[in-house]
Amino acid sequence: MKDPQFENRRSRMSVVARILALIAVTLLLVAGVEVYNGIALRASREAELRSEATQLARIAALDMDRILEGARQLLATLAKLPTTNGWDDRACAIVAATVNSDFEYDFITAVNSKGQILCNSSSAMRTGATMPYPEILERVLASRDFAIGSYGRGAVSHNEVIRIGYPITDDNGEVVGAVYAGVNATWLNTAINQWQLPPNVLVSIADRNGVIVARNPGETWVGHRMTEGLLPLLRGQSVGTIEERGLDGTLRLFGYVPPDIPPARGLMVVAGIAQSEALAEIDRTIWTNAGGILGVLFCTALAAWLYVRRFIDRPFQRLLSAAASWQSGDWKARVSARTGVSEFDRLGASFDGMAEVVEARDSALRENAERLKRSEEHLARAQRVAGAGSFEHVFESNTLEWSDESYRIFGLDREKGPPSIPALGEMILPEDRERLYRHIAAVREGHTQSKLEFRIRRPDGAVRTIRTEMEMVRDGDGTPEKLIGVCRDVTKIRDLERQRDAFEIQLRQAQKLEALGTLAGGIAHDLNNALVPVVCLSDAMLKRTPEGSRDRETLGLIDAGGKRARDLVRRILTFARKDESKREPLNLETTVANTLKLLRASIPSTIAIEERLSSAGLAYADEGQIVQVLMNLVTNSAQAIGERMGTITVELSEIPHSHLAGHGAAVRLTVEDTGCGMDEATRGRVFDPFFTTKEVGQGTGLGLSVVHGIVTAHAGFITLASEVGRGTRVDIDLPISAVVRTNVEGEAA
Amino acid sequence: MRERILLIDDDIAVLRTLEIVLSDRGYDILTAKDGVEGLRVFRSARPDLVITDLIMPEKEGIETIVEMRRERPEAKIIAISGGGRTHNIGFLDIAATLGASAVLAKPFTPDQLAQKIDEVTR
Repeated sequence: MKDPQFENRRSRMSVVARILALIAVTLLLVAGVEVYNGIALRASREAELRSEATQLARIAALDMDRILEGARQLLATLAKLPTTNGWDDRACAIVAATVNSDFEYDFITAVNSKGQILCNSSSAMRTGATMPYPEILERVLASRDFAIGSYGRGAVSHNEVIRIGYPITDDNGEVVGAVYAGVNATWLNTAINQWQLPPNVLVSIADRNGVIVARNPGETWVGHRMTEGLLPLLRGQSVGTIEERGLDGTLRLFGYVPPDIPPARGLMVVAGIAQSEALAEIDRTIWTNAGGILGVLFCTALAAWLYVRRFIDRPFQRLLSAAASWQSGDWKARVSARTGVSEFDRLGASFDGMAEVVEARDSALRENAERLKRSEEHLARAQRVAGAGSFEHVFESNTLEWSDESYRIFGLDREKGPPSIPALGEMILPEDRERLYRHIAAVREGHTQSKLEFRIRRPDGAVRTIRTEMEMVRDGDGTPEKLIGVCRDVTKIRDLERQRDAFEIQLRQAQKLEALGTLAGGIAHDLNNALVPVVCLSDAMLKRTPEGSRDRETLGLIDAGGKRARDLVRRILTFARKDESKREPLNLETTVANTLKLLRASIPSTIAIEERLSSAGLAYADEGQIVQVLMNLVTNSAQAIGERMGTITVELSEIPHSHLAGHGAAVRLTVEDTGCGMDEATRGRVFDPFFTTKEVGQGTGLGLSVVHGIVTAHAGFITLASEVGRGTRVDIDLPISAVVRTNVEGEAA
Repeated sequence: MRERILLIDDDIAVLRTLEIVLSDRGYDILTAKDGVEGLRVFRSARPDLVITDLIMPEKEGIETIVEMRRERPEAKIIAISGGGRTHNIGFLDIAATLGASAVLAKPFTPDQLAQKIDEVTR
């Protein structure tokens, strides 16, 4: 059942879904605002971090400057030493003492502008030799001021150092050389590691080549080049920040001060803040908020769902299920809603009221339908039992109405409805059509008509005889309203009648022939006897009479006449004889069944014929003679039962041990009746072929001698059992074997 | 010694005819008009051959043949018949089955009879 309401409910959103969707949208908006806030907060924190990183780098650069300021002042002082006496031993001793007294310096060396060593803290470096690393001298000469060189190792000590230098000037202020020192990297690291840095921050100091000189925290990376991304900044012109992955693999936000930008002085300073750690807290806050919102979203949705289910969906479902019950015909269903929602309660109550009214109407209707159905079934059953169909022809609409049985009789399909009047006319055999139409016209005009029989050709081709009786129904004015009537298929009855007539004719013919045969047989017997002296004596005398004599001629004529008479008798016998054997392998079952069918029509209906036919082997027999045997036996039985009620049982079976010679297998045909039976005297003589109780020409009657003759001629065996008042039983055994003695010779008698 | 033939037939003309024909051929002839008489002669005279009709009053032929056969299994019996009085049944056939040594349909010529006798007595 399709209902647009249900279709809609499926194809569109339900109320519950709509409400849930509304709540979801609202909450998602709130969540969106929250997420936006989080992102904005994170961005501002990131900006803060940038400024922090720059600030840190600046501070570190300043501090580094402060640390190196001491070294600058020391070198500036030492550079003044030669002003008095040049680089004499005393001046050099001061230099050496400075190195020894201070862990800060690995070595201090004074050179002239050509790089020749003038004085050195280590005795291993000869005065007058050329300095091993001229880079710092070049820087000092170029800047004419304090200069910071690059990372390297001391030529003598091989310690990690960063070289710094200061120019030596003459009285005219010309630069004539330089004092340079190797600042110990270890010392430098110790110095900057005294800074208390936040846990997620690192500070790194590198030379102009990007080689790390010092690092807080840890010295692990001293001597390595800075991470690739920072190297281009060595020639940078401003302080700034950059996001890079450090050598330890941590992503950091680096604040940097390039070497040539104050407050840096020849060293690159970077301060890195691990971004993830710095932003961890704010991220945590954002996620917590998002989770909270999701939780709220879920709880709200659940609450809304429960509410909608309880107060909207459930009442709706009750309404719908009640409506579905009504739709399927169950008007007893009720909404009976106590939903707590007054609108639904009122709606449910009014639906229930409506259902109540409909239920009452429906049950009354059903009761009526039931009664009508019973009545129709009764009528149909009655028509089926009677084999009679009914019909109605309404003139105004020119329509036919038929009962089920009518359809069956006419061999038409009930589903297709009654045929049209012309189509029905076509079914009637042309030779009967006019008669039927005249009949109907007569009924219509008010002439009372008796029954009528006509024939139809059914769609399956079968021709049936229909017997009909009809009557005109008129309105108050006497105008014909409709023609009603009944019809019966009487084909079988008519067929049986015809069959019976045919059989009677056949029987009469057979009886006539038999009478003729009997007559001929009787005459033949006497004639044959009468002819014995004629044929025998004329022949004997002929042989004793001389040739050519008149007597011989006379005797010859007598002899010839006798033989002609003999031949004539034989021809008459041949003509009258029906047992002109045509024996062949025969299926007795069919023969017996067919014969019984014929006999049924001639046996009174008070006598039942019971058939017990099983397929036996083929008997070698003449079908006509077997038919005659069965006819005689059954007719005898019927006569023995007479006008009383009774049963004739005909049985056909194959038996393993018979009465035949050799007692082999045989086909046994049994005819048994519940008739009057026979006394012993009669019983002893019935099979006597020469015992004649009947007049010549009398019908089959007690034709048991005929039966006996036929059975014997078939090399069969017949037995009879009978008791007065109980009935008679005749068993006929016929050989199955095809070897049957044929009697041709000598049977001419 | 001449062979002795017993003739049984209720038809006097037949009986006399056969007597003439067979005595002409050198047989001693005994006659009887029905089965009862025939059997009596059969027992007393002990003929070499019996020629009997089948359809007779009192005692008919087949019954007679059956009794003779029972008494003298080696007896030679020829059954003759002009056919059934009421129906066309092969009586001679039945007679052959029930004990007749040979059968012959009436009417027949003396030669046909002689031939049967030869067949039976040979």
